[in-house]
Amino acid sequence: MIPESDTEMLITRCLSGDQTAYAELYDLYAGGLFRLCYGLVLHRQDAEDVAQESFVYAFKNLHRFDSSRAAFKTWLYTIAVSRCRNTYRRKLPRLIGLSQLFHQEATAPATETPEAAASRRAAKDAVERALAQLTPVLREAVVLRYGHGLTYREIAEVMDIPHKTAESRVRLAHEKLRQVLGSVGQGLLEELLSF
Amino acid sequence: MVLAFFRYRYCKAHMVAYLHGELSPQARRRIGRIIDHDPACYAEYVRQRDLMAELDRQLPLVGQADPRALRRMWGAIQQELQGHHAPMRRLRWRYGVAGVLLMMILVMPLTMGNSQPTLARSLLQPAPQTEHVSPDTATAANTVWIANNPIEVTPPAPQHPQTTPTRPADR
Repeated sequence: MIPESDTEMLITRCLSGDQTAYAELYDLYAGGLFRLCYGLVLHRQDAEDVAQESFVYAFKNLHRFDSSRAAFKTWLYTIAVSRCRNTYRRKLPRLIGLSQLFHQEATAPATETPEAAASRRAAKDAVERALAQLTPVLREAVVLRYGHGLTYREIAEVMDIPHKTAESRVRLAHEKLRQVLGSVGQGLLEELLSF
Repeated sequence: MVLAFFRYRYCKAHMVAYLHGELSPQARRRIGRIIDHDPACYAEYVRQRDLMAELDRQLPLVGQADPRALRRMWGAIQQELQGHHAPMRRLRWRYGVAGVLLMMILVMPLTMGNSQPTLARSLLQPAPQTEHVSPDTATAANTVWIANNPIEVTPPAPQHPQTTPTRPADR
């Protein structure tokens, strides 16, 4: 969790022309923004492109950011979600390649046994495949909620929808994920849940 | 039985929001009471809670960024931002080019205007330029020619002795 006061201080420094503040702001939000973009477009190169475009837009329009209206994270995520929508409107749904799945692995803890690492990888892959089966709007809702811990109000802001719609989309996405993960097999679901 | 069905439907519709802590205190209390007293609703609660815990654990792992990719992105962002900070330089350069073009546009008619009289003079027949020479002193040698090119100058008229006609009445 990044304190909003730190972000505001960095933004003030950026606006006063401090170039190092841009780098610090990037370091704070780059990882999260990339994860968001990847969760929505499910393609590494596209996610990189969208995250990069979003940062460039945000930095160029930093003077337009109004901290009294939204948190910087929400503003940045709104920009990214809008660009992700453009990306998946432009492109046909892609199949996730195995090489891509292996490439994007999270770093395993040093103490993790090979079995535990394989189980963790299987669980993550199953969730990712389930995500790919959601419609873009449901995926946005569930990624923002579970991947980034946004509240329904924040999800509504980022997705530009009413609060109740955000709530129902999270619920529908949750239901759909349960069906998809359930259809993979009760055994896998049990494995996921027991991990 | 019907009441239990509708209670289950209500509970299921609000369960995710309940688990996310997004319900009003009144709705939260209502759902809590249903979960406590209805086994079907309790089972639904357990299923949703487990899935939520799993998603909370797994989704943040999806799309973990590679540090090299983040550095690559930062390099590209810096390049784009430098391009953004340069517009003043670009603008100045464009103003410079526009200024030169404007000067050329303004100066060109003047240049053309100067060349026109020269052309006009060369196309016209040169005017005869001779000095008036009195018949007494007129010789070809002491005539001062203004023009250097003798071709362009009208040659001096041949000199004939002037004879005054006499009228018969005068005689």
